[in-house]
Amino acid sequence: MKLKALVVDDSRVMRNIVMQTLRHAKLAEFEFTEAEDGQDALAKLQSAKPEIVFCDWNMPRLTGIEFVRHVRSSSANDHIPIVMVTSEKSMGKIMDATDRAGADAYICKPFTAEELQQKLTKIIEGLGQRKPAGGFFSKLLGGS
Amino acid sequence: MLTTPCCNPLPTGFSDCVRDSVVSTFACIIGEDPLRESGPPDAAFDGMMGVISFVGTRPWSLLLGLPRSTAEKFAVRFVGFEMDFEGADMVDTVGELANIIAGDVTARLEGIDMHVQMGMPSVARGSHLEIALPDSVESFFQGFSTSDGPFWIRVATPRSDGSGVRRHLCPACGHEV
Repeated sequence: MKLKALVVDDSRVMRNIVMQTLRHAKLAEFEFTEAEDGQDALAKLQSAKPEIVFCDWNMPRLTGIEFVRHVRSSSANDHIPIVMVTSEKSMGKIMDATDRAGADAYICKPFTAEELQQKLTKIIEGLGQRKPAGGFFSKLLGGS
Repeated sequence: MLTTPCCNPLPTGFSDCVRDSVVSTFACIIGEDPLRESGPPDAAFDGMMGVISFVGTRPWSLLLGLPRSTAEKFAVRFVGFEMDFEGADMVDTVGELANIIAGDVTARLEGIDMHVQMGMPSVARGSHLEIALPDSVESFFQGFSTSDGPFWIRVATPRSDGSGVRRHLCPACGHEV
């Protein structure tokens, strides 16, 4: 069983880096879907039904922060953890994303597999607890 | 030196923020601190140029110049595999490098009370690339060297007095004065 993840970035190279580093972090086994901007991500949210989203900030059409606000205002998807993965590092932006818009974690580019482990372990564990017992996550977390 | 009054009309600390961002970003990506070079300003070159603009307290643009060989080596360090210099991934990579520097410098500038927002990066690729700035723009140049090759940045901002008087390059540091 795999964790469905949506990776949103207008840079194909950056999407690959995010997916590659997540694999190296070994937090879970992922099944990735890619989106090129916030608008594309909203569509893929319906079709791919991701369990977690990794989202850039500066993108054409619909930015990452607008995407987060959109998702959080919809009762159908407001439970999906959203991780901002962005080069925006200012405190104001971080607070905008996490405190005001409702992103669950904030990762600044460039990042390492260790940083992903540090910031995502709790979120991934939380997702595991939502899954039915005996599945991939209960094995991952040491359950029977 | 970059701090002499005739050569550095940008806010105090601004150029240091930019240079520190470049060094720390590339140190993280290529695993070594790029060394500042005191050589002459950028001449026309073959390679890639990433450009990103900022608006806020004072509008400005950051230009990142990567000779072809440096760009190819940095791309491997950043992405983990070799890529075609002529391909779309190389454009993506250089744009992303400019973007990451821009994010870092934006955060650092808050420390000197300069609040800016970064735009989307654009990238140029070609032979004999050169920068031609209008007279209404002032700029500074900084070259760097690494074991993967040289690269440079140029920062351009509107003249604070709004004048469009033709300037010349300071022979000591390469600033337009």
